[in-house]
This record gives sequence, structure tokens and C-alpha cells, in this order.
Amino acid sequence: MKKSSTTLSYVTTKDFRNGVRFQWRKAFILAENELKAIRNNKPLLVNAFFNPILYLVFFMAGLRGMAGDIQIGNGVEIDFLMFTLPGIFMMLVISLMGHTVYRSTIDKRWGLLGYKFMNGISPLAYVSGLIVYPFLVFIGQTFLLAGLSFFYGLQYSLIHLLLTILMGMVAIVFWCCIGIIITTRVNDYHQRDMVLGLLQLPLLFTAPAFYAIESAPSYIQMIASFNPVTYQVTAIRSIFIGYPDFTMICITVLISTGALLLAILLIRKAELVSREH
Amino acid sequence: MEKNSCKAAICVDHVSLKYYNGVYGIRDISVALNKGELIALIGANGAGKSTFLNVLCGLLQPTEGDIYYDKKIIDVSTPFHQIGWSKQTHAIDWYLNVYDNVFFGARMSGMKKKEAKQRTLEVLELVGLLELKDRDVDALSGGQQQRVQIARALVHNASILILDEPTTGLDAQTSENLLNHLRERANDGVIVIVSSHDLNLVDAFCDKVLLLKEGKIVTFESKQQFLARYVDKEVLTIAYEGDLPPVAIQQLEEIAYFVENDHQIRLEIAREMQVGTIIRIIDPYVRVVDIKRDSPGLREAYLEVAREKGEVTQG
Repeated sequence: MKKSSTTLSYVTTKDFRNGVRFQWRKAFILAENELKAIRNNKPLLVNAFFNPILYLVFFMAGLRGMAGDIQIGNGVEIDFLMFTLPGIFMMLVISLMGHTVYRSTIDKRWGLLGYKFMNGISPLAYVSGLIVYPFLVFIGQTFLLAGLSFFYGLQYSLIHLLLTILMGMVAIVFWCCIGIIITTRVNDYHQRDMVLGLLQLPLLFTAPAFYAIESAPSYIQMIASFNPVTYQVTAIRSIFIGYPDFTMICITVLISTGALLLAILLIRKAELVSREH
Repeated sequence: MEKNSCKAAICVDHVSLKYYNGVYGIRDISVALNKGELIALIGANGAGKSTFLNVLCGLLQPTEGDIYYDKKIIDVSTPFHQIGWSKQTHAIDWYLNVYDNVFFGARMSGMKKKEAKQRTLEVLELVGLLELKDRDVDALSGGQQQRVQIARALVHNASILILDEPTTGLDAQTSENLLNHLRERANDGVIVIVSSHDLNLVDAFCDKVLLLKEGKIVTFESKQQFLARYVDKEVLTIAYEGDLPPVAIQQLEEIAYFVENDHQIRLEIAREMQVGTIIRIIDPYVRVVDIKRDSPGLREAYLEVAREKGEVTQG
């Protein structure tokens, strides 16, 4: 509306969402808020803490005696536990997607998404805020698991461990963004829970998380080639054991970047008034 | 409202919102909202009140028309820094306690931690939740949850307050306290727009009435104009000692509909009628001991409009 007859100058509500810019401060406030929310969700905390440890101590350590060493692609043989520990890291990465799903669901269902955006949270700040908790859990758990693995005689360099954590965080970006994408696109939460429930285990079991893909039946190998976990776990493992596979690392970085961009795009266009049912 | 003629703080210019299924949530709404006004948004369920409020604060985009905000009171990068917003369903974080929900709103609005803490405690006291500040919101009653949301809307010094049925679930005293506070904020220059079904309550506080029906404006005008337009009767109650003779009763019947009961008469009279006219009729026969004149309020006016079908007027 041109206001030729007055000195008043106007903006329209259509300018509101377009005017939002990324601010570190807002992302920090959001992250702080997320950590407070987690404090009140003790089952999630307990689950995130114990599950990977239980897998390592009871499942993988138990299988180790039966499995022996595993030969990886470049002819190198490694201890079964050394092979599967990155698989447990990856399992942790995927499980952390659940956090972003339930938090972004609350935002969408109860109208907080609109409240946050209208307060200047940009889509990138929103994703950043939601990812902080998964990052912290992953870092903490990886150190804990790595520490425990010493008791089983595993040896690796600290640098490799730190780079593994970094690679894991790249994978977390991918899965958390997938969680946000699912939340923005699916309005029926029963359908969403079903998708997530069906997704997690098959993703891990159709990728070389706990076994060498070369020894799997050909149909699993074919499915694995379409499974992002295949690339991510291979990248993480290659760094962890000290033989970095740059092709897998690049693919992992690329798909995470793609998921991040898609999540930002979809959040930017997301409806701010819920039609959830 | 003619385009280009609006000089108000917020100009709603021929705004419609059409859903994907072709149904209009609101249709061709034009209003000008000025600083210092407390506007009651009323209408039946499904009239489009919540849709209008969501469009007004930018959460829904109109499919036709535009809403213009004075640039001096809004920053497009952070519109909710200047808008205090509370929705009909509770937009609260169910994994945070009472304090953290409100504190988050204060921090989001740009306050530093120290100021946000102080302001959060102040507003929790205002809505009567200070003693429950550490409680999880899912452990609160519906009315208390509503208060958390209202506290978050009030925690920063917004220039515009958009509150969708804020009194729903609140007890009478809290509702009145809240509307008193909103009245004070309006007196300080804040634009307050409140939707409510509690018409008796908002009647005491609002300046203007925006009545929607099936997504369209039925009326938008001052409360006085609205009442004058739709309610032309008042109720006069006179208590007396003695007996009214048939001749007096006949004279009263010629003037107004009335009911006589146990030395008391209740008459529906025109607003402009002088009480003296009635007194002169009965005074020769009885001794008048009490006179009470009641003006119908927003509720009666709303019910009157509801009886009329499809009339559209705009002040």
C-alpha cells in the first residue's frame, strides 16, 4: 500500500518470514531451551545413555569370540569389535534422529514453530538449535564407548577418535534433518511414528554396520547401495581404523549438506498453523 | 476502508483467506486498528475469529488482500518482538516447566538474561503462577496452562497484543484481573485485540467491537455505537408500596411491555424514554421506594445481531 498522503511507512505480513536472518544468539537461546527440555525427559536420557553401552558390552562383546577378525575392503583385517564399534556409533547417530522428530513435532503440533520463526529464528538457526543435543550426546557417548573398548583391548589414536566424532556429527546432521523433513511433511503422527519405527532397524541391518557387506547375500548388497548408512558407517569406520576412505567421506558430507539444504527449504515453507491429527 | 486512505497503526485491507478446499476462512475483511484501542473480536464458533487472528499476526498468509503494519512499530525480521501472541490451544512447550516457558519467551524477545529473569518473575506474579513456577506444565490445570501462555505473551513490552480466547478456562477473578491489565496496556498505547465468548466480561473493558459471521465482518465500530445500533431497549425496575389501580396499569401497557409482581414492576422501555414519564403515571397511587435502570450490554447486543440474519454494516 503506497502511503502518498501520509508520512507513515508500512510493511506487510508477507514480509515477516522473508525478513528473518540467521543469528547466532537466537540459535544459542534455542539450543539452551532444548537442553532444558531434555532435562525433563528422563526416559530419553536414560535410553540414549544405556543403549549403546549395552550393545557394546553384551551384544558385540558376546559375538566377538564367535566372529573373530573381519577383513575389510582393502585387504586389512581388523578385530570384530573394532569393526562393530563404528556400527554402534552409527546406531547412536540414527537413534538421535528421534530427538529432533519429537521436538519438532511439539513445535509443529502446538504452534511453537510459528512462534519461534516470528521471533527471528531462521530455519538454519532452528536446525542448529535442535542438533545441539544430539551433538552433545554423541560426543559424550563416543568418548564413553571408546573408553570402555579399551577394556576389550582395542587400540586407536586420539586423533582418529576425534575425526570419527567429527564424521559422526556430519552424519547426525543428515539424520536429524531427515527427522525434521519427515515432521514437516507428514501431518498424521500415527503415520509418522510408523515410518520412524519401521525405518531405524532395517537401516542398520541393511548396511555394513555390524557385518562386512561383502559377506552378505547379493540382495542385501543391492539394498545397501541405496542406504545412506552404508556410506556413513564406512566413512566413520575408515577414519576410526586409520584408513580413511575419501570417497565415502565425500559422499557422507554431500548427502548431509543436501539434507540440511532440503530441511531449511521445507522449514522455510512450512505451515505455521498446525493441521496435525 | 479505502486503500491508500488508512493511517492507522495496522491496516487490514480487503483480506481474505481461502483454504485449499475452496472454503473461505475469512472474506474481504478491512479494518483499521489504532494505538490504544482494546478491540473485542466476537462471533459464533466457526465465525473465523482464530483464522483472522492468525492472519493478523502473520502466521497465515491471506490469499487476497494485505495487512499493513506501521514500520515504526514492527520489525519484519522479528515481528513477535512487538506482538504478544496467545492462541486458543496452548502453544506451550510441554517439556519445560512454567518458569522456563515464560523465560524462553522473554529471551526470544531479545531481553538479556538478567532482565528476562526479572520480567518472568513479575509476569508470573501478575497471572498468579509464581508459586507454581517450577512445576511442569503438563501437571497444571487447563486454566493454569492458559495462564502460562498469557504470561509469555505479556512478558515483553509488546506494542500489539493478539490474544485468542485468553479467558477460556480462567476463573472469574483471574479473567477480570487479566482484562484489567489489558485495559491498562491499551491505555498506555498498546493495540489489544481479544477474541472471547465471555461477552459480559469483555463488555466492561473493550473500546471497539469487531463481530464476524461466516468469515465476514458484520460490524466494526465503537462499543457505544454497537450497543446503540442493536439494543434500543432498557429495563426499568420500580419497587413501590400500595396497590396500582387498573387505570394506571392500562396507561403503563400503552407505553411499554411490563410485568407486575409483588409490589414491583419491570418495564422494557426505549433508551430515550425519561423515567419521569413512568413515575408520573404511578405516583398518584403508590409510593415509589426504589428505581433501577439496566442497560443491556454486549451480550444482549450480540444476541440481537445473531437473531438478524445476514445484515452487514460497518462503522
